[in-house]
Amino acid sequence: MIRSGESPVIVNSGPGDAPAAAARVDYRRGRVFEPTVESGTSLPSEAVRSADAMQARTPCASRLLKSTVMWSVIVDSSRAGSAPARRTPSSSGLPQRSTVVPHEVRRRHKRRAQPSMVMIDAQTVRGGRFGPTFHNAGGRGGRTVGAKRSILVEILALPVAVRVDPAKPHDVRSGRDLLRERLPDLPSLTAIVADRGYRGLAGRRPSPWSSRRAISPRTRPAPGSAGWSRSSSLLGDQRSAQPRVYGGRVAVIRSPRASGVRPAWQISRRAAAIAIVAPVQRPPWDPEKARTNFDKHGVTFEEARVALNHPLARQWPDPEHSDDEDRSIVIGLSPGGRLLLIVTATGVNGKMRIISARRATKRERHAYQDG
Amino acid sequence: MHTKTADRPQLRPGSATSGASAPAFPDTVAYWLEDDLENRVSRLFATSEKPMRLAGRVLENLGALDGWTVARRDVNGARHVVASGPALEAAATPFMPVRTLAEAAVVQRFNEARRRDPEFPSRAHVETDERVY
Repeated sequence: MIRSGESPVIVNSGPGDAPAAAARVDYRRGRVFEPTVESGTSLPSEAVRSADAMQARTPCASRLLKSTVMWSVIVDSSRAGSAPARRTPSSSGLPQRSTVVPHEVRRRHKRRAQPSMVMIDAQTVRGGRFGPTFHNAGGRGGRTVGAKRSILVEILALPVAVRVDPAKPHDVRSGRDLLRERLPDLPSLTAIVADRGYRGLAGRRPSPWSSRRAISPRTRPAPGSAGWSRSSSLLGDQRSAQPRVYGGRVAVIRSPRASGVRPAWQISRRAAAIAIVAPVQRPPWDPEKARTNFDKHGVTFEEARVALNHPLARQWPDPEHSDDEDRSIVIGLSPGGRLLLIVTATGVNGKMRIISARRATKRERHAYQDG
Repeated sequence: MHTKTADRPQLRPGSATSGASAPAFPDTVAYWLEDDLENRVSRLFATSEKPMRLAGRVLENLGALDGWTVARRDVNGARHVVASGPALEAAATPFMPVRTLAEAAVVQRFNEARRRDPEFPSRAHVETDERVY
């Protein structure tokens, strides 16, 4: 029950929900309210309701649940050390309802409607591990009871998907099922962050090609060197195995292995603390050509790729320089505001690759600005 | 003679050959193009033809103009929407880049390949230039 002076945070309210009612479950830190649902609608099982109630009190800022959930979970923000409440109680003392749509929240934060990166983890909701010792539980002589929640969270901590399973199966198995369910709904997804417990999430071993760029342990930079370098693209840097730093660990993104519209997923087997699942997709350029182009023009193909995909980019077919493939010249703005001229080729297989990229000349800049 | 300069591609400047006239409002100071996040992504223009051409370019690249807007500011400083969304698509279609049939086929294959890139589309550069061109 909400006490005076406390302001609840509305976790979820799907369209068509009935007004909130007074059924309450009191937890140690949060309070969960279950509204009355429309007649004829059956409530989920106690285990599922408890799972979602527990979700509301996780440190994750869970403000949304799946729209298909027929009940609302409303929790106050009186958790120790939590942020101030975002909603105020209505005059009746019950929380006000609001409909919060994830893509609207993302839009307010100037992000695309669909997330490109999510994090996955699992949490035991009820029950736990029992056995000779806690750490050995689940192994010899141990047993696991209760329920487990796997959750996908995007960068704004908005839950993307939740799945409740028995606690016994491994996290990877539940996570794999969750991904199998939700990947078709996440067409823009390019990376999944997971801890090393999710090794094997892809369900197959890395190929010899990709294992060359497996996540490697952190090494100190050589004396006199510039220090840590940073990978320029989540999809992999073709120039060298340059590290990305995550939480004090170094992870080298595995280079894309093959192209395809629907990327497969792969995860490092040697991640120290965090693993990156990158889509298995080769960047559309020759790595040697990318290196020479950078040496010659000071433009990386990663930057050119962004400029190429700029909505205001202008393109000209260039049939004079190739007979067996479509050449195009594109002028687009890079993230740094540089106007780049990029030459691309589209083969008969429909795949495009970047051939060169350089800064646009004055005449080309005028041609771009001319409209 | 082949030289580095002579071999450079000759980029044709764009031209609105369709003869369509851009909307005009007498009390307007500037026109511009906004993306679906309501960011101004073009410079300020004295006429609406340039923003419409840019909208036509975006329409060719993205295939749709959901959420995109051509806006204007009047002499009192108030912002008005000239066209947005489907209305802008209809208004900007005559201002799309003019292509020959062969060029259109190449551009179509290019756009199909580009849209398969998971990085497509990248976010537009937010324009901060306040001068009216």
